Amino acid sequence: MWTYIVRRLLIVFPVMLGVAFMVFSAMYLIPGDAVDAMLRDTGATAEAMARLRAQMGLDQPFHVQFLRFLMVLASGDLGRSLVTGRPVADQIASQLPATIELTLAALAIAILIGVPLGVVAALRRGSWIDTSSMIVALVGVSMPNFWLGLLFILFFSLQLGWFPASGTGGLRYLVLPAVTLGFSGVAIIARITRSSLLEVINADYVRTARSKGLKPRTVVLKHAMRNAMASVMTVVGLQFGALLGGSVVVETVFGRQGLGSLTVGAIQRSDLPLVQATVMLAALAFVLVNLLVDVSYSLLDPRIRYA
Amino acid sequence: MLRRAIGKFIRHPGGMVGLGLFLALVCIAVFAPAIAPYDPLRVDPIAALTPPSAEHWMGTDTLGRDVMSRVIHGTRISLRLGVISVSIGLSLGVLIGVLAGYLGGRVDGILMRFIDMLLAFPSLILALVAVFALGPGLTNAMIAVGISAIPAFARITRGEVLSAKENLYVQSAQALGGSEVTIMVRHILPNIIAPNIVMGALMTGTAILAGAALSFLGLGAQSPTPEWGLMLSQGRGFMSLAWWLTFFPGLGIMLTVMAMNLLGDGLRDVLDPRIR
Amino acid sequence: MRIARPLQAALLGALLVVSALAGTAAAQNTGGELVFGVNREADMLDLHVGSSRYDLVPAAQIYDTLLFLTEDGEFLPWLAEEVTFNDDATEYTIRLRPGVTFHDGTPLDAEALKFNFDRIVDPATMSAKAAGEMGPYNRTEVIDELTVVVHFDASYPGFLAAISDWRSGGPHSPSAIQADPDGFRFAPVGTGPFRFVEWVQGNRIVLERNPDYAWPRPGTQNDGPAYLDRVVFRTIAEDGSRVVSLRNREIDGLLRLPPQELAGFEGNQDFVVTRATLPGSGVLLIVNAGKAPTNDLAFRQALLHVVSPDQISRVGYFGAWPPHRGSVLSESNPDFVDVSDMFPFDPERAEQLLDEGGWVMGADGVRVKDGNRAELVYIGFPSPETTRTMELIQALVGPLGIRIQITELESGAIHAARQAGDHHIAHLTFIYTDSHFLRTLFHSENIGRGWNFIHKVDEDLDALLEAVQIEADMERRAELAERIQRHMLEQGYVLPTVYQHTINVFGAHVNDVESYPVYGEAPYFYDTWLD
Repeated sequence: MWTYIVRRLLIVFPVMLGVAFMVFSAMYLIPGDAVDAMLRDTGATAEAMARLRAQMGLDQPFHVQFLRFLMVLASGDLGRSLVTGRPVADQIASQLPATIELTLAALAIAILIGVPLGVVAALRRGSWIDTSSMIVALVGVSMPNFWLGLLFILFFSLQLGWFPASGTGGLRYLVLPAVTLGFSGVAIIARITRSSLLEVINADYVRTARSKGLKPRTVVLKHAMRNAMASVMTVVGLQFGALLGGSVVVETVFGRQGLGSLTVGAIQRSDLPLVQATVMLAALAFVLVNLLVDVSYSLLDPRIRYA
Repeated sequence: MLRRAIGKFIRHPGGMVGLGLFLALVCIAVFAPAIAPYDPLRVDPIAALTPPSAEHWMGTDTLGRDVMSRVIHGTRISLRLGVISVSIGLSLGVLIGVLAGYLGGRVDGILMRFIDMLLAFPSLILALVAVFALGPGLTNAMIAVGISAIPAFARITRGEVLSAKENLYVQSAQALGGSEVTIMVRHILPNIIAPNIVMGALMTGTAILAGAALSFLGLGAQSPTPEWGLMLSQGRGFMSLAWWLTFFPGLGIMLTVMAMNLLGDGLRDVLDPRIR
Repeated sequence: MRIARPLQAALLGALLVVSALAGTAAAQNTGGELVFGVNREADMLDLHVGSSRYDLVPAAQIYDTLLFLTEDGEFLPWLAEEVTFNDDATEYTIRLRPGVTFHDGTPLDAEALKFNFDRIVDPATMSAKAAGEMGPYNRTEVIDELTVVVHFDASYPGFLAAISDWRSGGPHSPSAIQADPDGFRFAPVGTGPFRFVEWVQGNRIVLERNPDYAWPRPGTQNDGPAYLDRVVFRTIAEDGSRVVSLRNREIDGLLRLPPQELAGFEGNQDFVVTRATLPGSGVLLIVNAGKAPTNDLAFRQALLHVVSPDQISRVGYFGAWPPHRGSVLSESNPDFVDVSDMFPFDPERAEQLLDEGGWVMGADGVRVKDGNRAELVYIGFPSPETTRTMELIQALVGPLGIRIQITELESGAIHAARQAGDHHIAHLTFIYTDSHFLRTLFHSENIGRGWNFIHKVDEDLDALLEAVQIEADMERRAELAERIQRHMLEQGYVLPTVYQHTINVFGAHVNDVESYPVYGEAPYFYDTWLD
């Protein structure tokens, strides 16, 4: 078990190195560099720009610049925003909590509603509950979250005035964005729970348990669920990536502070250091969560062993 | 085999609904200029912000353009975006998957590390990075979404190729000295078609969503293109005054994505129940 | 010439105190928090460095200025008790008001002022705007504790306007800057009626009352500390959400009411609408005369005949922002000239100009001349109003055989694109009162690295712009400014659309908000109190 975890952890490094390479190359391709962006309104002379470029090493060939980029990253210095001059690390630190709050709330909604919905649908297979929950699930995966968010604002903020339309703050500010972001997760998790439960319910050991006279409900909760959870966990891991991507949109729709709106703002304003840092952080978070999922998967499912 | 699959598909209610919806949308897209009551770009300031009426079923926008005509033409753009992005993802993904799976060894290692790198990004974030590097615009958004779809196709193809390679008939073909190309075309390709069709259908829905999201964020289609995501973002400021500006384009996205999901689910159940 | 009324000011001040005291007890409540919704967060609050107009919204409460420029174009003493200058406007003597302190307790003295000016022009500061306002600055000489002489290398009549702007005329605390030069951007220290408390990025900027404040701006009712305890600037980027937040009482007021909402607020008892036309360029479309097809004069003039400010005001701005009747100056600028009769809306004339100019209609409905197709690229900021404007213009020029592709970019990317001349038509707005600023926008020295997006060297224009910058005589200046305005339109370098207009809305419980549209849309909350 431990060797598996350590081995998985070790893979994170080359993957992140590759991520850094890709992000750096993408930035390198963009016309105009950091000096253009920094001195854009200052009327600086071409010589002054060349001097600053040399100072920042931007006149060096690609591989030298990439190595320098890695070294700076390794030292933990993420640089400064080209637009505001704010240290990137500070900005990320100030925006991270809001995004964590939002993604966790959305994930909680997805699991707390999705799993029971899936269980009920599986137990009552073919009933109206099953059909309607699967229709809800279909709508959920097909609905663009930015549209759902706008509909929520229209209804719950504009018409009813129950929740604020925009901003970051306490629970009142969290409800609509979290439900918006979690909605597609509800759908996906409900579907997976249902189908993996159906699979397990027909498996031999559950039949045996049933034949021993245990109530179907107990069978489901005690035996089937444990096994079904493994595939649900995998989906949760993948869902996390969707949540990270979705937070970009949802934070924009609801005017929330957070990494997503920071990323979009940085992209719109060509703020290279900020784009690099936020994108790499999203990748790191995604990779680590998937690692976590794989590890807990192996814990949940005793049949799986890793050499 | 094909006949059986078709027979099964016909009895799959979700799949048939999906297929019906999809075909309807394709018809709308193809015959958009004929179906749309007005030119989607025709500006008529005097008729601006008319609510849905007999004349304008879905109302008019801030410039007096007919929303229904724009939504109809939007079908074209979104389907094209879905198909082109998925084609990019599919062709590159299948190429990488086949090479990695068939050649194995170091090629496999390198290609799969590349795929791991792509997979390290949540897909919308990957599309954002790509569109940032390429610059905003509808074409670039298609490429960006296509890139973010590569890993899904590469992985599924590699898996199929690997298991096909294990199969006796490939081994025997190799033993008999068939050329690599022949082996690939005759024995491996048939195995990877079905799962890629299923994945393609499912990914088309995802791609349409992602493309609309990019446009919504101002990084995809540019005005005055009647793209649904862009229409939504332009209608946002008018939510309290003109709900129809955001309602109908959103409905368009949802129905299209739903069609692709239903179709994909149906195809999966029929062709390849292993994929989930 | 001198700008000073120490005696009258003192007397007037005394009178005001009496009347204000009489009024205070009965009316103004002290205390409370005002939450103001803004559409865009400030980039930074170090105005020596920053360039965003949205920086000024909080900054107007944090910093005072040396002189106060009234909407009538009059300069009144504020932190500077007296400003005098020599005949050729190369030396300015500034005498500071005694007893003014920064929020950190340090005094505003001659050394502090010298520090401010020197820092603005220091290349290491990388000033985006303030350095430009300092013109041909040479050095500051400290005469005594409260007096400096500012020396310029050339005549610089624009300096009075510069020190009425917070960027170069709003003293920043030297000790705070020296303690943490980079951190100052996000923890500013000035002399204004409100002092900085915190900045939650992407969410809000919080200010609180400066209890020591006793150097009010000319013309205010209050003369001590502000009435409000706190002012919170909340960022709500989305237009619709900002309006919903105001209606739901999440915020007390908002900056930039989207024009389509005006009808719903005007005449509504629960709200107070404040409107003002900003000085400056107005909303302009700059035409690139440096590349085909817009390098053709007839082509540019044809555009002027169809790009109708009236229609743009109606469709793009729902009539809330008035149509531009000038060329490169707003109605609220002192040197403004109405030139709307030069190129009236006349599609037939436009067609005629194109035909005569050799632009032949192609089979695909696009005109061609010498192999150049009449296909234009527009580059502008993403704003719903300008997008609608461009979509309207597309529809207006379409029948003439001209196509326009709309590209919308944010501040970082747009500047590089416009400087490189990627556009045929570029969006430009700039806020300024003084005509000397026209040089910054339209002189050919600013092609490629500054704000000139015309991309064509026009020596006549350059000469006029140089002349207006150093002309100290107001009447001569106005004449030069008129010639510039007519020349810009004659040559088809600009397509005027609307005046920049600012519409702010407050709940009826918010009293005495002053709008001060001279340097932007920032309201001033010094006199403001809540029911």
